[in-house]
Amino acid sequence: MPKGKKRLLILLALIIAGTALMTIQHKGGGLAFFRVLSSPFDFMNSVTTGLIDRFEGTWDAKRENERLRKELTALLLERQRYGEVMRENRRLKDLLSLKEVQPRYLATARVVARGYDRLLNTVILDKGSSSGIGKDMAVITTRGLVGKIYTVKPGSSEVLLLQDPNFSVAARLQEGREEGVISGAGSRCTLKYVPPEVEVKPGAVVISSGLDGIFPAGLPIGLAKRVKKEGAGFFQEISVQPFQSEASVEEVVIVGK
Amino acid sequence: MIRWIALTFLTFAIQTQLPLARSLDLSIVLVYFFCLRTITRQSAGWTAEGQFSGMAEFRGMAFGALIGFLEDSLSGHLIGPAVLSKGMSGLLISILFSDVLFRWTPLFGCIILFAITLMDGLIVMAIRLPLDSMSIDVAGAVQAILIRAVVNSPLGIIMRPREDR
Repeated sequence: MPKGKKRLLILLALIIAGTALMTIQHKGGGLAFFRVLSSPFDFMNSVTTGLIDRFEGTWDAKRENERLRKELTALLLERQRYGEVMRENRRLKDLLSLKEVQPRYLATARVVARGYDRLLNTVILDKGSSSGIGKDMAVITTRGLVGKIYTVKPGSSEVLLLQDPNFSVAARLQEGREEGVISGAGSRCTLKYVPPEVEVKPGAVVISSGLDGIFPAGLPIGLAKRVKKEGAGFFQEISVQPFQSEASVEEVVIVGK
Repeated sequence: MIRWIALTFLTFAIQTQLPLARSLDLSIVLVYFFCLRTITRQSAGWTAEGQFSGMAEFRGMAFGALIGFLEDSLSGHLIGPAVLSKGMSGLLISILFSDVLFRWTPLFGCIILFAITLMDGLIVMAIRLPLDSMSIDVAGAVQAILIRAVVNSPLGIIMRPREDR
């Protein structure tokens, strides 16, 4: 048989078989039996889908976990900010209460930085001469004396702290009423010029006397810690722990002269 | 034989499981590969006595029809369109390799695979159009077939015939 005829025969056989197959199905004849062929692939499909679902579930859980962690961090930060605002609010309220008890109340200021001068122990306030602040004005908090205004600029001022050796204030013992002078001595202060016959007990409260004409009388300064009589010369050497630590000053009140 | 069964299973497994393989028509590639690897110059339809047996064409057509049958069974639609299209493709590839092309080159492989994929898709569409109750978007279907043919064609460069061709 010629080559072309044989090929035509193969093609015809294919077309007839295919057409017959489709005709049987089109007339409703069942070839459902052959659908069994797809069962291994259906099984594979279900396994793959299950694996993909599990992977997607794990992936989604991981992403959700990350999102929740971020949200939790943001919430914790917000809570911390809220707490900080609450504490600040309380401090400011306390400072405002000073306005009622301190007749020479001038302004409230915020500590914005440590002083730039390395030889002096100072802090910078965010208010200056434009708020009525002047040199040598007393700076206090609800706890007690902080220092005095050292330099003033229109928008800021510098406070010489109580603990600075260049600082001094006329003081007296609250109980005994003995006078002296408080000077800075690093992290503490020293109450000078108290005669040796005066009995000073550790824990005695030291306040400003107002005799220097700078600080109002009655400002709490600190507590007597150590009293040294021997070898101190004509006067006792009393170490005083200030009520207001220099490290925790945030908002202050400036008291006018 | 076992190798071809395994390859067939693997082809359908890839095509049904991997979403990326959806844009490929791996079954027609398998038919092409079968014809490319099994039909040699010596087996291309001529007996030792110089008579034409048509065995190569028959094998190509039969393998194509079998693959088409599997494909139709898996698709869940009418069994037949892919049988016809793949069978014809197998027959045509066998004729091409036995009579028309005496020397395989990567470019021929690429062109043949492109043309065969296109022909296969068009035959299936032509048969299913009048038989399916669903309305098929012809332009969209042709576009999809063309994309498959283009994506399939580079495989024609990779797949090589046996050394004796």
